[in-house]
Amino acid sequence: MRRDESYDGFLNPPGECRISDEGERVWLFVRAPTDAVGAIVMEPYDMTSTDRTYDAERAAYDELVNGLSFEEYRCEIERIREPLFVPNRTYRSDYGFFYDEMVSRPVLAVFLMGALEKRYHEQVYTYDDLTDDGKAFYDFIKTLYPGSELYLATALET
Amino acid sequence: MLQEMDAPMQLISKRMVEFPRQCVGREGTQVWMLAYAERLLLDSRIDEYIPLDITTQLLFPIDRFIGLDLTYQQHQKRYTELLKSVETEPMLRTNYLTAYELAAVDTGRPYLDISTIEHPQLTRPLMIVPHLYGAFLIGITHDSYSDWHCTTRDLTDDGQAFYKRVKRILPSTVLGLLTLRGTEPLVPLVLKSDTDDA
Repeated sequence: MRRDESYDGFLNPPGECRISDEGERVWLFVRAPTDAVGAIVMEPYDMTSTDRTYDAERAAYDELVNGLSFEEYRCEIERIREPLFVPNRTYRSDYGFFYDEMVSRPVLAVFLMGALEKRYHEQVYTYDDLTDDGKAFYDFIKTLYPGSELYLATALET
Repeated sequence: MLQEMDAPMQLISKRMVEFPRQCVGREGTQVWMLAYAERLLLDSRIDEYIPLDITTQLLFPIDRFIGLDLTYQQHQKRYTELLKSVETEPMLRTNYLTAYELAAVDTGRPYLDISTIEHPQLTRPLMIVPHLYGAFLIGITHDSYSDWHCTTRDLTDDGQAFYKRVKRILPSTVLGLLTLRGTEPLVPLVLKSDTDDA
């Protein structure tokens, strides 16, 4: 039976060994098939990447290591994340400053799939890293929102 | 556009909300199922491990707000009190809010509140729904209704099953049903290309 304080949710990390003492969080985003409906939410704080963009972001990082300028790298990350997240020009403080985080394009659902006290995953969580119940929930959400795109976003807890 | 897609049933494959049969307009209505982290709402048991940043929030302009089932009774009671106290019609504006909006703010905490966050294209204040494990759009229609907000009694069998399923996933989850006006996004998305600094 699940401990009352457990936030593991649907996460089934690939290994027992922790990578670091940073925690990790995984969010499910259901990207609406159109910008004409949904909610706009902030990108998870300290997001590593998503299951659908990780490989491209990793390649961009390799280019950065091999001489790409940081500005070019930043633009490349923006381009890669653009189907789900865009630079924030939507929410600003009452002092008139836009918050630094990116914001989502309209989503039909967002949900915390789980949070762990330590970091167990070197990369990002994918469908294969969910428990059986997690996979069943993911599959259900996929059929519930036909035409939408699902993303699993992994963020570190710092 | 939503109209072009004839979208409500295309967006959500299962009918989860039983909307009223009698509509009074075509302004549109949407229902969100909210999963609150109760421990953060209560701000208690602070010695226990709670991962940081495990919640998100929703924001929408206050004039879109129809009701939240968790606060609706208090909201209506406060609204009645306000109307009596000013002896006028609901259009009275108090501190930039209508009596209905002010009553929602007065009775919203901890489930919703007025926000200091602004939107560059909106003039009305934003309401914030904090401390969410998540939110799901479970019903949307082009119709609008008189004096209706979604409660658990308005959920279909599929809606009830989903409600129970979400409640079990994470600790101390409190569910709410938020009813808003309109079918459009909760706030307009502003892209860099729409702004001067593009």
